[in-house]
Amino acid sequence: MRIVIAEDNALLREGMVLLLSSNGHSVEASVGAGPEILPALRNHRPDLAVLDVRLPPSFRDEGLRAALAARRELPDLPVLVLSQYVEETYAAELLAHGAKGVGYLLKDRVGRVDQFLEALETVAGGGTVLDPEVVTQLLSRQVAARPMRNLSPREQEVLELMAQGKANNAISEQLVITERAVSKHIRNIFDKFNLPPEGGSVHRRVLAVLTYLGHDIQES
Amino acid sequence: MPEFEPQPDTEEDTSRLGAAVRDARDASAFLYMGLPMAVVCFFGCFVVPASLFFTVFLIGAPAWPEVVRALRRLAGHERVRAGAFLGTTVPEQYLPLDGSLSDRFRLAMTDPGTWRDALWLPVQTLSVMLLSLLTLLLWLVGLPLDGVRLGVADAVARRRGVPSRAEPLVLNLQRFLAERQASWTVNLLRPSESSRLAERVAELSESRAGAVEAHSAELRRIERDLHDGVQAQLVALSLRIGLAKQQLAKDPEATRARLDEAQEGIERVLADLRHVVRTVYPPVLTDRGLAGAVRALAAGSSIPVDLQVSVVESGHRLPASVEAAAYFVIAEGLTNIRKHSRATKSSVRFQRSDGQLTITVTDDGRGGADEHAGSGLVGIRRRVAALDGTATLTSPVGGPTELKVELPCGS
Repeated sequence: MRIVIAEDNALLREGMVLLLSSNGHSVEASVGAGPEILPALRNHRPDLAVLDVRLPPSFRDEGLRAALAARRELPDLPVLVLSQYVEETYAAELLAHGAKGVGYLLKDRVGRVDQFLEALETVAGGGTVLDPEVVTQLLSRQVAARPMRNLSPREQEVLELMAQGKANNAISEQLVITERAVSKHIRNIFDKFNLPPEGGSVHRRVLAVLTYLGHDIQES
Repeated sequence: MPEFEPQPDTEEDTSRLGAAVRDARDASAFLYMGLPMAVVCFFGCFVVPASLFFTVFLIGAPAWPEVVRALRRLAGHERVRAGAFLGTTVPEQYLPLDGSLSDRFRLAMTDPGTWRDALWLPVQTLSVMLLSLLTLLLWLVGLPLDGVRLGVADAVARRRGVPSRAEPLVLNLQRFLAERQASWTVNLLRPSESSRLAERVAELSESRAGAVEAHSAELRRIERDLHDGVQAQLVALSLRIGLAKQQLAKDPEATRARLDEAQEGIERVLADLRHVVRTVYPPVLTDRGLAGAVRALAAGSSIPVDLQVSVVESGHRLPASVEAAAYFVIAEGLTNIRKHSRATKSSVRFQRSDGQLTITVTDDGRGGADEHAGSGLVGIRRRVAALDGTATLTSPVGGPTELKVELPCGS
């Protein structure tokens, strides 16, 4: 997979290049400042962009703004945003233009190499990956949100894992239930959220996650 | 019996004279009652300079604050009496004589009230004694003079058939003199502009000392979090990795276990560090400013929040410490509303005026919030106090609840 990286810390940038190239990916470009991101993406048209949120010159949310601009300008480009901290607002902004090929993870997760590579694959394949921390923030704040009240605790757990971009088999492993049970829970979630079956199951998963995020489900 | 029949004119006149006499009596009573005080003040005129004199040679230093204290009591007594006579209240304002002997000495010397009181001593002595004497004379002269004057004027008026317009002259002077004396006292003993300023300086020094103390406590907390938490954990992790290296050749399985532990530990350190950073200055403030950060808080709230943040969006940015405190106040306020209030809507308002930022967080919930029940508000108070601000919580049972925080923000 061809990847463009934006990260201002040289050590971490080199570490990521090493990690990705030793796992069969090619790093097309690695940039260290916000304004360099979009030109690099336009030039290389990579399969995936991995962007740090806080970058020079202003050390604010350059990376996130670049990610949002990239999603408008290159809608098919999957973007994974990495950050030292997560804000659910940022997740909502990233998902505002649809949940296809979006990831938002804490930088800490890079250390779990296998899971990190899996997340890269998911995002590059058009999936959605949200950091468990974002999901926890959402869960703790959105408990009173209307559609969530209808879900059983188990269904909530399943949805939470779906929001993290996990596939059915991974969910069944984590919750120690059969895949059939997972599918049943997911069908219940779709029903309770009134999600029409015609969209295809991947699309419906995204819609469920968006509903979960408090978004209008007509969007995307 | 005609001689006993009431004669309206005469009675009016005698009552006018009577009123004048009663008035003059009250006025001179005020002066005569001041005589004992004048005698005390007379001695005070010698005691105060004498104690100051001895103080210069240091032997009298311990006595000086006590003398000033006694002087204040004396002045306080007269302040009330003269104020009551004039129908006003005279505020009393002194620097409190607390602390060590040198502190008390310094306060007694620097309080402008001390010197005004000292000046008042001879004024009181002389004015009361002289005016008392004068009023005594006025009685002797005034009673027959005004009596005759009024009597003649009334007789003339009666003959002409018009009401008398004559007023007692000499007797009214008594009141005039007494009021003069009382107003000298009041003007001398009223707190001067400089003593009000001195009071304000003392207040500000105290609140600044509190703010510095609260700020130091905050620094110590951060240091403790980093030192006992993060640093200690990193040492433990380094040790784990060292062990792993040692075991690498002979026991790969154990090496793997140590490395797993090390990685888990690092993730915990990162989470702790993130928490510490967040308590110091939430990163979202850097990214989005206070208005953006508060919008993010509101977006995450399950209860609708009505936001009025325009005053913190326009104009120059607030100091970072004020932004951080404001952010925590609102985050805590919204959390409490979500957890306890059963509200259906809430609001966050910013106002900015006279170098003061006012944050008001309200909800339409059930009220009855107890600030001692949770530690959240205690933390808010600590943060707000560190910036010399104030926090007030009003929450009657049945609602609504209002949390109002005022922070000085320079402009």
